[in-house]
Amino acid sequence: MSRRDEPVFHRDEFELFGAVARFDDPGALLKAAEGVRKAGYERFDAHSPFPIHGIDEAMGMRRSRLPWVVLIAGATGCVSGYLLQWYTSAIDYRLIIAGKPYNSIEAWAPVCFELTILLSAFAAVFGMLAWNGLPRLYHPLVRHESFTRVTNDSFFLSVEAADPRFDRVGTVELLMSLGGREVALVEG
Amino acid sequence: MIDTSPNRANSTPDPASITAPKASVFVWVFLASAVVAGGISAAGWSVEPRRFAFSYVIALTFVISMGVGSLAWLMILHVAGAVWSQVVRRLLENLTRPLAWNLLLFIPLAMNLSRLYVWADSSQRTTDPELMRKAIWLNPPLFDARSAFYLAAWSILAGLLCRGSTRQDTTGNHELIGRMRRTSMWGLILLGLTTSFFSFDWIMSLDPHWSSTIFGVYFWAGSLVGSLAALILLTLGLRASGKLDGLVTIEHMHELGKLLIGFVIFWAYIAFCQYLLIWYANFPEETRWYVIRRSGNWNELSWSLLFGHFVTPFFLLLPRANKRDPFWLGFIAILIIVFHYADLYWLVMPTLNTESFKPHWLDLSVAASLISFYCAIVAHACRTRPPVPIGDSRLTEALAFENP
Repeated sequence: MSRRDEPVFHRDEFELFGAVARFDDPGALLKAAEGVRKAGYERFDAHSPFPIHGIDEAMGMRRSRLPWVVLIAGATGCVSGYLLQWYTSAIDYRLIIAGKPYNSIEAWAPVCFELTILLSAFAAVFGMLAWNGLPRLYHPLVRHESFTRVTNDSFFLSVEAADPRFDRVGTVELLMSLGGREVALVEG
Repeated sequence: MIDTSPNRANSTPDPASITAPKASVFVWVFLASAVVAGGISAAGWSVEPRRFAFSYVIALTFVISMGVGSLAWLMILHVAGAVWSQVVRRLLENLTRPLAWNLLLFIPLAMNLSRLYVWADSSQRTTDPELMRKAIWLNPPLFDARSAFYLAAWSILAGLLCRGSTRQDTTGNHELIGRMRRTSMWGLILLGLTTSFFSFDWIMSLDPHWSSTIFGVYFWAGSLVGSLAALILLTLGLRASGKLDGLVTIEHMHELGKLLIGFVIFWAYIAFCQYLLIWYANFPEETRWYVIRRSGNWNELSWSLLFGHFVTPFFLLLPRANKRDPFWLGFIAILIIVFHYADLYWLVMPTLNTESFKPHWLDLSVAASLISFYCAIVAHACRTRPPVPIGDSRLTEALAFENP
């Protein structure tokens, strides 16, 4: 494809990330997020320099499933810690230590505890990174002219093209009707 | 912070309009129950003085641990200065009010020292070499003096913080926040030391041949969990009667639930630390204490402590939904309070019933009497002052707290 000189918007096979709009204050962003959710969109995101109370409800975000992953990882750590010690000390290489039984649960507890913590922490950190799509060196949204203001004084709402309801014209019009400024389509 | 719900401003009451709840019926009900159960217990004292002494030391340690734990939370809250916690500060102050009566409640125990402690029994004190060696610390006059010091110190600390808080209600003086924080700073150190020594003196010395350096922390951990559960129950009760409408929200309850699970784990951690080290070292003079508690049906109580004081509350408190549900929080709080009592029973009573766990009606009547008395003082304190510190400048922000 050697059509690099042509403007991106005119290309047919042009990969679209989605539409983005800028808002001046968190209240407008909250209202816009609610409007987009009520219009039936599911793949959209809000971007802000600081956490906004109520944004989860406005966007209709469900609670993360991460706690379940952490619970399962923690239980795995506990059970594998027990199995490791039980197999090595009570089955494979039996030694009498300080007159204690081969399978001394009391002595296994610290290792089970530590492995529970270790695997839970790993699951929490790496699960969070994975579900957030991190680490990511580049995001299509930074193509937007003023998107860097998201770390300073502006609030953005982006709707992904992957959303089944996404429409190049309709979505842009919706964002504009919700009070968005600098509404633009962003290349993927 | 951005106010996202337009109606929240209306649901949060104006601090100046908050007044103390007026219900006095609870005070009288609790007092009546304390007097009736106290009368039955006094009769038990004359019939079975030794059993009475043991039941009394368990019940008194139980109510003291509730007061001391609340005092510790109150001072931690002053030192940490977390804004959300200001809404439960007044309720914690109310839970510490019974500490002022402990010197009086100590008298029946002081009269029964020789029935409780072998080191106070003159026939044994002069023959057992271990007791002779320890007599410099473990002797009745010094024990009474130390106990009086601990009980007076806690009463004064709780009094200082309550007085400052009451004055803040009327004057709204901002300097009082700093003054109460400074009191709490040295107060926490004093409380930590006195509580440890209190548990060494009152509970650990029941078996003067046994010692555990972590015992003070174990008692602390139990007190913190038990008093937090008591705070949750008191808050839920006042909420249910509508006295805390718009003041203590489910967001604050959620926060208390998070603290509760943290300290449930802390208690289990400390309990296991003590057990593991003694089990592992295997010294006869140390293991004997656990051997008693793991033989006969004491072993069943030991296992029930593991499940009732740790495993069940831990798993029930794990889901976020349970920490935000008054029913589950209340259920877990009651469970923890019951097992906190069982924990103290398990520490004390095997000294008397070395063979097996034998419940006695005196255990019940003495506990009912002292706990009713404790509740009466708390109920009275709840109706003398507004349920939240209305003079604190952080209150409005504390009321609007929301979990992320």
